Amino acid sequence: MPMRKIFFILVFFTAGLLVRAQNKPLDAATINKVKSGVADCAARTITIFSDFTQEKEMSILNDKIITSGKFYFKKEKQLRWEYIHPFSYVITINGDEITIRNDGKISSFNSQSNRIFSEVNKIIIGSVRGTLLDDDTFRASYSQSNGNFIVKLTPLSPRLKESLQEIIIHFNKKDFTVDRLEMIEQGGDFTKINFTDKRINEPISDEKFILR
Amino acid sequence: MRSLFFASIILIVILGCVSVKPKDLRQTAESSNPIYSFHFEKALFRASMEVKKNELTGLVFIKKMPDSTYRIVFSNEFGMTYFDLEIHEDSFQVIYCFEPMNKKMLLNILEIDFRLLIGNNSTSKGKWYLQELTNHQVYHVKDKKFNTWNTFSTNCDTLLSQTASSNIFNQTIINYLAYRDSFPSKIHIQNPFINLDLKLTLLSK
Repeated sequence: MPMRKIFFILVFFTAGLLVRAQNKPLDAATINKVKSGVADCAARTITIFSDFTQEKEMSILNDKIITSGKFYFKKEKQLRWEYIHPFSYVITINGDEITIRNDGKISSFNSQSNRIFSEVNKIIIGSVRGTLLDDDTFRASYSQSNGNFIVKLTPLSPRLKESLQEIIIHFNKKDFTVDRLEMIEQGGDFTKINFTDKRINEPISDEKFILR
Repeated sequence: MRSLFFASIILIVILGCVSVKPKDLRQTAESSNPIYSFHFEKALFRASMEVKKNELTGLVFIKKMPDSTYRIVFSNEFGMTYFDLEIHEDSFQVIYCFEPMNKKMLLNILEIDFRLLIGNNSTSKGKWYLQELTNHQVYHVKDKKFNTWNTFSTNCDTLLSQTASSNIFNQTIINYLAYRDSFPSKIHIQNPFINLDLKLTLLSK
């Protein structure tokens, strides 16, 4: 057999193994285990504080835009995203009320009046609280990698489909918290948000979710 | 007759208010084409865009591709794309546009704005003027589509502003501010007739 042929067979075999290793589909029993694990985690989580790194990858441009900051969550529906690098920007979400601090200027609006924020808000709160897995506006498929259960959500509503192709949530296998959130856009660009140094149920003051 | 008179008055007032031509100009003998004072292969900006009282914030990434086209991507802080545009020397392509912004008029204006910004405007021969009040050098170029006024610093090494119009409803004013290492760290783009105001602050290039 010519060397070149052997090389290609090896490449395809290795690639096949890698794809399988990265993405093993789950059986019904494990899917139930993931669902109940996420629900239990959501039930006992009062607060989350973590660092995050966000990478937007633009498929055709071969470039990444990397931002990072701090993430805060407090039950039921309080969120604070604090972008620190490469710019300063804070967004707090208190129920449906969204407040932004950008360049020292504070503005507030209702999430229902802004479609993008409304959807992002729903996705992030839904991931943290585990409610997104039972949301009938998405079709869910489950798989696993070494350290994560991976839930791929495909939007079913035509409105969300216009902008989002898929949302992928990586749940930590040990504690069922969210390690990574990926949003894949219709154009093929995607954004990964990695949560690191997570601190669960440490006290966070309500003041943290109010911008003045 | 009376309504025609009022219509003329209104038109004169509108034209007077929005003329993009810099004031106090005197034509000079200079005949060379201007050398635009900044070039870039790619740049990342913090962006804030106001359109008809709606404010969008996020990041604008501009990149020159190997075939010399430019890609311009505007996304919000969470990474969701508002628009992704491709500017060729003689054509324009919308790769993606978030549905509420997908309006032909807005996209036409954005094309003109970014075409000016990347220096991909007319190659027609223009005329030089001196702005007497400021001593700025002004290069005016007119082609089939646009009237463009490029204002340079006194010694002509820094592009300060560009104004362009095709008609009274399609006008662009770009100010290049706070130069650092020969590159404007702030760029302010305005389109008075649709109340579009785009502010870019350089993050990296």
